[in-house]
Amino acid sequence: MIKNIAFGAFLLVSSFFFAQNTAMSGAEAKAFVTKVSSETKEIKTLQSDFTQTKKMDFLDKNIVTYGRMSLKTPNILSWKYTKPYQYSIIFKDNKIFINDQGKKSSVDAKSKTFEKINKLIVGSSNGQMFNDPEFSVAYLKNANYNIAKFTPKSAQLLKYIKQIELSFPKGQSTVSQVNMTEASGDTTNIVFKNTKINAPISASEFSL
Amino acid sequence: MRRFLLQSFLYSLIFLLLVSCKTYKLADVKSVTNSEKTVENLYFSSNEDYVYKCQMDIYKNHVSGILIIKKLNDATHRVVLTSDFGNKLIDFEISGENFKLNYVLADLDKKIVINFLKNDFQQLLKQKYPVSESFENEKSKIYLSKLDKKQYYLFFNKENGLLNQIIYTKNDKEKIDFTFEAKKHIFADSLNLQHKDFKINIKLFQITETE
Repeated sequence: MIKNIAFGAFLLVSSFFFAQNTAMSGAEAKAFVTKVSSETKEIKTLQSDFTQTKKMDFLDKNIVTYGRMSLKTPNILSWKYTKPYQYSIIFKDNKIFINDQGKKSSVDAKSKTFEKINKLIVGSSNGQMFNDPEFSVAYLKNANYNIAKFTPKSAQLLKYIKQIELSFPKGQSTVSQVNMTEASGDTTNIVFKNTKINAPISASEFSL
Repeated sequence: MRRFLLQSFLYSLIFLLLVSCKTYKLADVKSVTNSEKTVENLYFSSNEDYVYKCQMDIYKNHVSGILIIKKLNDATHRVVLTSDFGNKLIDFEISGENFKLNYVLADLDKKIVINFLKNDFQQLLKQKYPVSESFENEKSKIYLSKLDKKQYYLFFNKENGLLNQIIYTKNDKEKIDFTFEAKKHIFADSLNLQHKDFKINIKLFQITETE
């Protein structure tokens, strides 16, 4: 109990020091969106390593998985988990290709939910997501990051996701961190590292 | 969904007709005197987190994700399945008698799916089995545990003493076959759960010990 109170107090204090998010002014938000949108228009390819951390209150340890994402505009996306297991999902030609530890399958991406998810992921790399009619967006900032907070408008998407926060390091136009909060309150955090913009990506990255 | 139900019903009906005459019997074993009063499945008995990569095949549907099993107290386990991207698909607390659903994704919220998971995990997480009869063959010591109409055959490897199979039968018909691979008695590296009367298969590979 005391441990919890102490931990809570620590969180509270540390949040004052490290991550005091304040809302951007209308002009700041406009400048931020314009900058990100224009710079991401120049993106042809994007590749990045990621670390995904899933937190659940009843677990002793977080569940951490690692992988690599590759993107080729306008709409080819590959999301590959490499550790501790192999799982790839590729969005290409309105189809979704999956390799689940050697078991390959494909589905039509006509499912509305998949379409929305794909749009959001691709949109977050080309600046289009700020205009996505599915979400309302709030703009925040702290000492190190500009933050765009997305909240789904439709009840259908709210069933899956309560909120998505994209963090952009100050002065950069690509996302370095994604925080997702589910309807159940659990959070998933994805941190991107070694991001390469417009470097050639081999075709094998986009096939299973 | 209606088509799926109808299809499942037809499949299972055909399948049942084919297998319904077959009664499960141990082959090539000899009876031995009871050496144990109770045997245990200890693979989910520790209080540590159990984390598995999970592949489920339910008829033609393939579900992939991460399965977490956590023992909360002597009787109850918490079971959570998330997608590979981390979002929660289903979350429940289960014991021999009780089942409490904490969360289920709308797409999975079907009575038939929940009942299957409830039943499967109730069998899988059952720890203590009173022994009714004992057998052995070349490789295994086999214990039969009878509880009402349910019978469980537990196969323990003679060499290392580890549990490597449970065959669950009801009214003498083989229902579910659980196969384990393990190096220690409280932790299974992989697990295969195969329904014998429905096209349902669950495969688990441990990702708990990754470092």
